[in-house]
Amino acid sequence: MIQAENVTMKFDDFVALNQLNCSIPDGCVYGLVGSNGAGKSTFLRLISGVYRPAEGKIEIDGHAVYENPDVKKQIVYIPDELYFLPQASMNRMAKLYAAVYETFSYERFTHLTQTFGLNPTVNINTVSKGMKRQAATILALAAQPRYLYFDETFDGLDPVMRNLVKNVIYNDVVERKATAIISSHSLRELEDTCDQLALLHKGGIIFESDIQNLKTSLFKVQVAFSDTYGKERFDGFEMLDYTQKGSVATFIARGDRDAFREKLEDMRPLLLDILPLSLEEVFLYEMEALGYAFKDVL
Amino acid sequence: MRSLFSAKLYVVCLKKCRLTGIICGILLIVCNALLPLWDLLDTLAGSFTVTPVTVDRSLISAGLFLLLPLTAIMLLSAFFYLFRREQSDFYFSLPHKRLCVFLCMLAASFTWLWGAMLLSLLLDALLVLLNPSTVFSALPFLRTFGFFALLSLQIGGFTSLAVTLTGTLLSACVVTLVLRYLVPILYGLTTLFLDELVPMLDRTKTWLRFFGPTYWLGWGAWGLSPQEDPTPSQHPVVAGMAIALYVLAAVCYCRRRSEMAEQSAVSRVLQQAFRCAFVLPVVLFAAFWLVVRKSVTGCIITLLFAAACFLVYELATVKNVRRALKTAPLFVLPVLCGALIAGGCYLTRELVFSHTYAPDEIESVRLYEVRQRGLFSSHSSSRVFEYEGPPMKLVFTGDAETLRLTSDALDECVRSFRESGEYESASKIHAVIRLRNGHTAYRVLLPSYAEQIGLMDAYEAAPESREVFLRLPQAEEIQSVTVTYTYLSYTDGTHTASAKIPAEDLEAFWTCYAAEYASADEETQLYVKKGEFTLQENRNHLLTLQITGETAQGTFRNQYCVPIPFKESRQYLLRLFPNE
Repeated sequence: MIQAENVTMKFDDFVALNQLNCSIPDGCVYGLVGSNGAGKSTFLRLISGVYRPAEGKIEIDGHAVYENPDVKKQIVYIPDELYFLPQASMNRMAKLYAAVYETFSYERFTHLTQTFGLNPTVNINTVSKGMKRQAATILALAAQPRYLYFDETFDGLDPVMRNLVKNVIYNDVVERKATAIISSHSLRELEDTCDQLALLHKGGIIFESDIQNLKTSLFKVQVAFSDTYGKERFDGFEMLDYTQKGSVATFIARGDRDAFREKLEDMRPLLLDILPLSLEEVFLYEMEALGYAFKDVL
Repeated sequence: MRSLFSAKLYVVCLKKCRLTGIICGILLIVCNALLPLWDLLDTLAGSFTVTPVTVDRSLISAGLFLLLPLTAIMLLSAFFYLFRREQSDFYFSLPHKRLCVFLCMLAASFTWLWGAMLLSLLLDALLVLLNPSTVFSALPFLRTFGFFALLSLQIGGFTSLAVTLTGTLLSACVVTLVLRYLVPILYGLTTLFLDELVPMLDRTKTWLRFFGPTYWLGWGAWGLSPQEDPTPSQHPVVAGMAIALYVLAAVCYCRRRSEMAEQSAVSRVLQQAFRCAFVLPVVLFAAFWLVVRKSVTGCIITLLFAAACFLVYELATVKNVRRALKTAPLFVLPVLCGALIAGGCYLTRELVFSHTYAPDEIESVRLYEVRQRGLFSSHSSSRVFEYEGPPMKLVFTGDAETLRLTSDALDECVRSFRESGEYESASKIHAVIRLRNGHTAYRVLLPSYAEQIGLMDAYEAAPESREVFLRLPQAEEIQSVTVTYTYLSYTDGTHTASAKIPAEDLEAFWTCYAAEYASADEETQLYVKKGEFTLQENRNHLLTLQITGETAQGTFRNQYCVPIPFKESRQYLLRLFPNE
């Protein structure tokens, strides 16, 4: 488990992370969402041991990450700005990874290279951005670490490759019970990959939840009655947002969907629809409930 | 220990540095092979016969001075990742302790450099072996390797410290130069100040000497040739300084924040310090114009140049005009430092000028001349000692005439300098003046020719000087004695033969010689120690002794005569060398 307690990170006078608390369980795909400058990359660098926190502590299974080779050999970090040795091919980079990561598997490396259709003998620095990202992903996965950190990895990938990478990561997590942390500024990108999501804003996590819970805990209800009514008819229902046009009321509700349906049906409505929300909509309403304007956050 | 060094990581670092290492290796090997190759081809092409001589170190090491800048280049290349965010993040994310990465990278860099140096020397050895005019000897090669390994280690120390304190290539290069050369440059400029303002001060006896070439071995190869490399006793100091630099660099590397990449320095304070250090020599030069040369124009122009350097450095490192201009007022810091140094020198001048000593204030005095040899100097006892005689114990004399002449010379120097700012002198004589109040003053006398003759005559005639001068070395101080026999044949001309006295006979011979010397009169003793002899004086048969030895004060080399009255000594030598 990755544990971050009261972590603060400063760059001169700028506070990138402020008293951040976070707990990431093993064996999950954890999504980090936030706008530019929210602190996603900083957080990833902290938990990969590149940065040392100004305050607080970051531990994996109770051991500090910074300057701890025993912990760091279980982590592979793929940053947003990639680096490869000058004039290096994938084969040469594989040798480097094999030298520093004991769990590196050439077999897996070869298999993934073939799956992605990359030429391991070509100078990586001359290929496209997308292919570099694929190469970095292959090298990271071939190292077979317990923890994989991807910093906006899907940028620059075409939709086909994006899906392929997501599937490979997901399979890796499932097979080896690894933990993957993926950062992005796009909710849609993470929606179908991650188990848990955290939303970073101005150096802190303002919202964190299991995706399944998120998707099922909020839903949209459209209901209509023949008689005149107002919002007071739905007292007792946990609502985040309520609008009414004529006899049709639309509101966002939180709670057990089936219980809601039962209760509403008891009220004999003319029309009743309970609709799922997209992740983006869920975030929108949750943020507004917390007092943030969604457009300011993402 | 495992966490301090990793063989696998070392191999990774070796491969990373491969390209730079190969380029540096080629440059080094080719450049260092040029001279021996030239010598070989010259010898083979020449039609004259040559007497083979043992290979000279200058033949095999001239090109190796390239190793010093190549060391800096190699380390800048190896640690280049500290200047790029993405590279810095990559290396700091590796599952190794930072110290391990640092040491592996250092080891890899020096493997390439010293490996190239070794190959270069092997190639030179081959060329020497093929050269009929040189005799191969392993010792010069070993000494050369050791010498340059030590110097490159020191340069590497400055460079590795610079890269850990900076975040851009430009600032790393500048800081390397500052760390390496600031002290020697400041030393040179300060001594220039003192030499111009107060030439009567013996600055070799002030605290300043600790920053001079003899002590501050950060000068490295400045002014040195392989023949004049630091004495063996200085090697540990050079090595110790290098190790201290690496330790400091390692600490800075481990504490360095990864996000410092692409910033000119790891902190604002350091950035300001580098900036000030960069322009300080120029500011000091401006002060020189004003204080010594009394040229306001020169001072202003040099200051403007310094300010321009200050601004350009800041612009080049922060890459922001507004931020660079905001720091412009900090130019006052190096100006203040320069003013302090110049002011200190001026104060020193006033102190020295105000303290001349009357003869009755002086208890005793020792006089000597200094011979310059590169930037290292050696003392000779006095002008009488033509050869490097046994280093004298400090011969202080209380002879009244000597004290009077010393005091007069000092007064005259100060008076002349105060009046005209100049002095006319035939030579410089260093004086160690013991005062009756218990203090000791170190001065440089600048006498005219006549004054010099009078002063040194008086000093040498003083009983203390005469006694020491006439003293022979002790047998245990002597390492070797070579006898040279020269005689004049009216048919064949002058003949000379030399032979070294065997070690087992040395003590016995010297005892005999010393006994005859002790019983001789002073005139004969003076003649024996004169150092230069003619055949005519010795009735066309001249026996001379070249003596080398070592005392607590250092090594010496003397030449004595075995005059005709020294019958036993001459007989002894005839028995030893009947054929010669």
